Amino acid sequence: MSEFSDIGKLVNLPLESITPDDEFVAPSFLVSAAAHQLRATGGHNWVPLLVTESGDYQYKAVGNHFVYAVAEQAALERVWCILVDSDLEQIRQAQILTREAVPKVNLTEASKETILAGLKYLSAQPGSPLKGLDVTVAASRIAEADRAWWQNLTPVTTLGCKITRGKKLDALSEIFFVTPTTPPPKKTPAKKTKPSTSTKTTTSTRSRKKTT
Amino acid sequence: MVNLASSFLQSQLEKISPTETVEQVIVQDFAKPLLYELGFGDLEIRPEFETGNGPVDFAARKNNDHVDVFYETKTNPYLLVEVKARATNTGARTTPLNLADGAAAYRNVVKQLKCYLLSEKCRSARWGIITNGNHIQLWRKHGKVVHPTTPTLAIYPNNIDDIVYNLRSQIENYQPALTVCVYNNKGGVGKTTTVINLAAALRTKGKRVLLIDFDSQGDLTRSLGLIAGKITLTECLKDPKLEVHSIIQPFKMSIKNKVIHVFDVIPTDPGMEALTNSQSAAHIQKGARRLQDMISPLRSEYDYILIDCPTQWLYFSKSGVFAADAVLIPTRHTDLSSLNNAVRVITKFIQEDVKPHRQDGGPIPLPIFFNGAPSEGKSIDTANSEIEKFVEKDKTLIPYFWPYFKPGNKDKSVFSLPDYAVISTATFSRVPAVFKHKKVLEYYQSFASEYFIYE
Repeated sequence: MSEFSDIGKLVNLPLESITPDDEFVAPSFLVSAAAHQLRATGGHNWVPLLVTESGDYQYKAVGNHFVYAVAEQAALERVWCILVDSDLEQIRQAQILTREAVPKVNLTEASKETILAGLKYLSAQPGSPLKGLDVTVAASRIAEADRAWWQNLTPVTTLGCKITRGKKLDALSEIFFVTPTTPPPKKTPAKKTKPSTSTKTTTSTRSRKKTT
Repeated sequence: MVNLASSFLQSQLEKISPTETVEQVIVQDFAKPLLYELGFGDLEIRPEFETGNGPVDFAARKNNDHVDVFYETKTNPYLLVEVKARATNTGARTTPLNLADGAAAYRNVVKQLKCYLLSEKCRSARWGIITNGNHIQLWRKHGKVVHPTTPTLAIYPNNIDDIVYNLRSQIENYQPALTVCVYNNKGGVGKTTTVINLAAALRTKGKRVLLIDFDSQGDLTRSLGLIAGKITLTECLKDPKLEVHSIIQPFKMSIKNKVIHVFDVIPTDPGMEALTNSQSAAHIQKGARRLQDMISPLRSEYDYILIDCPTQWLYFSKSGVFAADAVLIPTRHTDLSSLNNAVRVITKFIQEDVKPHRQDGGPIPLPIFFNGAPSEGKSIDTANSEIEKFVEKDKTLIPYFWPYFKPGNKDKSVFSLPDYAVISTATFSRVPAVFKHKKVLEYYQSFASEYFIYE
């Protein structure tokens, strides 16, 4: 880390030089109670706000937004911050580490274990549309599928694992993305149209079977 | 308007072959249109201007009235442009001419430009440009110091407008101050004494000087009998909204019952000591880059801003060197370590640490000098044979140790300031030594004219 760049350094900045995140929301109880605790302990925030340099003597909060909300509530003039590299991927990394962003994995090449762990994570989220999903079956179906050419997550809906378009598929996109490594099979679509329609029918029959 | 102008230079650039070997093509198709874009008209541009040290491709100056036509009078040029081709022909092969920083061709062109800018006929010149249509760099001349104000910029049709806009605004807004940091990583070389007496000598030549005591030890502040005011340097570093003028103090002396304002000083204060601790230094936004910003409004108010720094390569010295256009390195001819450390300052601290973080190609090291030495003798020979050792290893160091050394003239003279006891003892009397002893004044005046000013 160079001496002529503050990136990576713990710096003490005037709160007014920092632009907060516009979308961050925290329960007012937590904010005021934390502000009270911060003031009562001398006003030195031990967990730093994460900022990037946005201009001369101007900063933008990019992570640990709760710290900003609390410092503001506690009417601190200055706050301890870590200056983060303004590269978007670096900011994202910081947000992932503070759990303000969820990391994503590439579904075109993820292992069965990763897919299973991901589905378990998603279905355990409160109010998850994937609640009740048989994650083991779904992970196996996805892992066995030819995924290298997937250009989006839609093919998952054709695998007969009860992940359908709409909310369920959207939930999946929270942690999975795709980057196709091979072009979509040219001949196979023609060939596959039949099996795929047949899978569709089988899926539907299966589900019907199950429901009956 | 800017758009129209830009498309003109863009199309000019696109016209030139990437491997153009004829310098005249770059001169006519790029450099001359460039001068138009920088605001000079046909009667304000002189091609093949004879500088006295050889002809430079272009010289330019604004005409004051109908009588004073630069094209005809060829006097007092303001800007020089030295042009090269994009490539050279070596036998049947065409090799690109690389003007990027550090390349051998670059060093040669810079040397050439400096030689022209420092010629007798170009005393009035303030700016110099080197370009080959692939790269461009702007240099400023302040007194006898020539230093870059942009890095070597790679030129493309899509960035040429922005580059020209930047160059033009610099050329049209010449800031009078030269910021000089006096630094050597080895102690005991007389940095503070140099700063005070050089400042006083510059004052006797009518220059407006500001001294900055950027050392928590406060030798400079103390030896001038000053103390920090209500608002301190430390506070100003920590709060960018504070007015920098509020920390400046005048240094006055009474000579023959008349009070004379000698120069201005930004004194150090006890709070500076704490900045050696990282918790406290964390309160300074932009860290070692802050001093440069802090003093930038003062660049239009002084002719010289001299910064005194402590020896170690830590916050204070880094700030001083970062804020400087030029770094003056005192050495002692009897202290070989001070010579070795001068090499470190030049090659490591300036070149590797600071320069890549500056947006203006600076700072530059000035040639070293011996502080407190005879002009010749056995001890000087010993020092020179030490210099010979590292100059052998790295020839690019020659101009910083032996500025008069030329091919065919192995002049190894190094400027030296004689060691008068008065120079150091006078620091106790709160009066710069140059005001107590006429001879000392003469020495420091000759020092000032060796490095900085025309007589």
